[in-house]
Amino acid sequence: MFQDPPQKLRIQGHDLAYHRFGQGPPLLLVHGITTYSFIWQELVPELARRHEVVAVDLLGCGASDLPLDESYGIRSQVARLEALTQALGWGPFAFVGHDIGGGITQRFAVDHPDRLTHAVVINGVAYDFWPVQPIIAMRTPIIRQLAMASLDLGAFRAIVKRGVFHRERVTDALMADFERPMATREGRKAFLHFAESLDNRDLTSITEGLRSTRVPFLIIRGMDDVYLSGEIARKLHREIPGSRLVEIPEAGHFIQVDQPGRLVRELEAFLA
Amino acid sequence: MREEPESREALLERLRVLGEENAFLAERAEEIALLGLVAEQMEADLEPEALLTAVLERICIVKGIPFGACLGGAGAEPPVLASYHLRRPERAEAADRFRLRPGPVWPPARAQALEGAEAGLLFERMEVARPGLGPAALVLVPMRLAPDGLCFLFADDRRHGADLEPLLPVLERVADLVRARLAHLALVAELQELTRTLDAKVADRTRELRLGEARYRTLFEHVPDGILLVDADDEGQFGRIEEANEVAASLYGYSLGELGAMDIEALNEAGSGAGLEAFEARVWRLKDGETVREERVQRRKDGTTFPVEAIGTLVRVAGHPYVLGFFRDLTERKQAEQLLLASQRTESLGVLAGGIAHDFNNLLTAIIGQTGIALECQEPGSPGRTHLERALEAAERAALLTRQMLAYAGRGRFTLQPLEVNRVIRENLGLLGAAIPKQVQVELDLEEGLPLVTGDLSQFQQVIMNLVLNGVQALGAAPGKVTVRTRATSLDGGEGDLWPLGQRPLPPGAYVGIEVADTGCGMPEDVRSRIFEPFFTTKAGGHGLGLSAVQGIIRGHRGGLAVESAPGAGTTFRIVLPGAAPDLPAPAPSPPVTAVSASRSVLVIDDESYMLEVVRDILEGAGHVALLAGSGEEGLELFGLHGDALDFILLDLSMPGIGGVETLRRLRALPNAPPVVVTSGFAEEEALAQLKGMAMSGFLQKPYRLEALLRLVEGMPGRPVQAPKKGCSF
Repeated sequence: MFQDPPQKLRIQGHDLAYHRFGQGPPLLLVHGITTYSFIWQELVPELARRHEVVAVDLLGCGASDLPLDESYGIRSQVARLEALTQALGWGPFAFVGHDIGGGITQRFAVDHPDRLTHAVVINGVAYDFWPVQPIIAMRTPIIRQLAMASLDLGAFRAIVKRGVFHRERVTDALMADFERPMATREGRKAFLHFAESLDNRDLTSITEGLRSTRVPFLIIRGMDDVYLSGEIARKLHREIPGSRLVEIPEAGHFIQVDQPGRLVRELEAFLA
Repeated sequence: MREEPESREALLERLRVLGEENAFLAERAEEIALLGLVAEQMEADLEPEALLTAVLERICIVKGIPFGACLGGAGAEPPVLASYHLRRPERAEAADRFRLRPGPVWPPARAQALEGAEAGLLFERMEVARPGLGPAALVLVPMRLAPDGLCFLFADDRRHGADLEPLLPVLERVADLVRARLAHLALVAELQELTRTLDAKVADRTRELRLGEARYRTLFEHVPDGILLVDADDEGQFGRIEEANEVAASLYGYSLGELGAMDIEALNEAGSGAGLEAFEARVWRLKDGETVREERVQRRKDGTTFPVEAIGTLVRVAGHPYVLGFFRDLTERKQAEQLLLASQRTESLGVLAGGIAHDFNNLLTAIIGQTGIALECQEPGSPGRTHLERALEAAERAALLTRQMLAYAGRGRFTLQPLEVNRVIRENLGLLGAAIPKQVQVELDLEEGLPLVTGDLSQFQQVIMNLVLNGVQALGAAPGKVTVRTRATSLDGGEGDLWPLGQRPLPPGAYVGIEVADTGCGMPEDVRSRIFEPFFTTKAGGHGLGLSAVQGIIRGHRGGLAVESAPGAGTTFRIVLPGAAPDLPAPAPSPPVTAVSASRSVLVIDDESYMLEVVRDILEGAGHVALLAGSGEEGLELFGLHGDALDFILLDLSMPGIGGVETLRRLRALPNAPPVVVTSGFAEEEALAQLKGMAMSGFLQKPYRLEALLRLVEGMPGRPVQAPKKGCSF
């Protein structure tokens, strides 16, 4: 968790929470499912030296509002983030997304190419290599697993630990950050609503758009990510013209925990 | 023999079977996980509603069912005890309603999954507070054996009843777990309630007992008598004090702890003998309800004794016999009785002294009058004259004695005026100078600025004189000192008791204190206690009236008198006199003696014939006319005959028959009554008190010299003086 409480902006009728640091070219950090802005905490001090960094809590996550009658799907999140960056007064900025946030990055680049200077996808979802929604609500294996994990702390901790290569880096404090949303019935509902809102058609529909994007793309993959296949990163690299692919060893799904320094270096190199 | 490779179809078939196996195992794993999650909630310390909500949430999340509720078993609209809706915000009100159709059994006897249409046969209305839950498949899971007919209800808007059918076994097991837990919670709650009630009852009872104990303890401690509870069981610790109150402890001078370990015997006066034995015999033979009461003498820890009234009664505490003894200290009562006796004695002595003085005054009036007349009839230088003069002097001294007796009796002459105490003392000591031997030093220690006191000057002089002379006499021939000291002082509410002179304590207020102390031989207690008694004296030639007169005078002045003395330690008399009321009128000046200018006709009414005679002799000797009446009745009769010729009437107050007071009243009622001068062997104040406000024209205190009578008679308006009837005139 960041030390200071987050700032909030009213976007499309709901509060979005975010942490803002540093000065320089704007850089937006977007988390994925099961996490929120805390996942960037190791990177932010370094990145904020040369950038104005905003780490946001997506709607339904962290300290943002948790409405159940709004979609937390990729398309709606793109619209909210566009409104947020406009509200922040940003011109073109760099967009860094992890996991589902990586999917949001792709969709944002396709929908708002002029808003982005750079796009970075870290262990991101793409194409149809992830839950297909909504065929049978809540009954796909990944969703069932997440649902169980929301109630069963043991299962939840196992999911977190499987996502980290250097498991010793998962301190109690870090685990507490992961677990926090699952501590309340409201948080659990929002989490499940997030999972339920996911629809891979939000990304399968932009396959062509990615092939023709002119936004510079960096694709980073933790080579030990057990949740998302290496094929996702490789296909993105193949299909997005001019994109760069970096595969980092000894890094799991939560690569920010395993290799924060390496990640900063790759980002700085790409954004320079 | 080479094995034929499996055909594609066979492989696909094996894959399909494995897939089904896998799905089945996944379901089983999920069910076990669900039971684990539910069991976890059973361990948590949750109230029934929270428990039900937690269980519903776990079923809904794990099984992907959007809505679950727990309904009660009663009524057409079973109450919703708890509910969970996956898509309903936590803060939204869960106003879910279910209305049963008449007919079907509720809750259902077994778990079942229903299609939306079938659900309609059971429920007339289903309102789940969240728009969007469309036509729903329903799962009903009754809690078996639950006394209040609870039933789980789940609704799913995406699956069919048949899809939900496989969930029934695990849901039934969950329901069993919950029912057991709820029953347990109900028992615990009941137990807690019982414990709470019991605790409250115990607390109430304890409070009551404490209150009762405190009440009786207060009673026990605040009874003004000493209380002892004494073991009266022959087979127990017979005679041992089991309980005592603080009053008893302070009465006997022991601590409560000491008393509690003592035998009652130790409190008896040593050597009380047969009387004690008889009393004890009565006490130890007491029967239930009997009481003994007796005055006894008891012994304190320090060995001193004191009188008590002892009351004993037999009581039983839990069947064990005790004598409950009440001990009332009679010391004060006895002292009060002694004081009362002494006071009554003093009072009767006063009455006696007053009566004697009164009669003596009458006799002295006659003696002085007749001697005076005889003296006037003697030629100057005749030998009888000296004897008559000595007789007159002796009669005057006798008159002084009667004055002191009257003063003691509080019936002396009494003219109130504001007095400066210091001045009276200084003047008086000046007069006394000759009577004080050289070896005696009289020291004055007078505080200036004292308040005035109200009193009779001559009586007050008498007090000072008596006390100082008393001190001088106590010194005898030895050199010594008499100190007269005055101080302004005041008495507060409690101090008035310290001056035990009158019947009542002195009221609080400003006083003047006078102290006469000598360094003489002092007095032993037996003398000290009697010095104020009239006719008690230790001096050869003393008549025993000096100090009793002082006492009478101080009492008459509403003051206080005390004496401290011990053999060899001198004697100190202390007097306190109330400060004067500021508005006391100054005494009227004595009327001047008027010149003899007229003859008077006087009606003399007195029951003593010698009085009549002496008055007649005096008046007639001076050329006046005296009509004599031996009683009030006779006086009134004479007045009826000669009223118009009378100039005034001399009336004695103390007479048999209708008496002086009634005579005066009747005389005053007559239209032509002349002035009436009252005469009495008592003082004027007493005469005034007897007259109760009736006016008189003058007062003549007996004994009086003939000059005093004549001055009075001739001060009245009347006829010219005629020649005396007899040979000798004056």
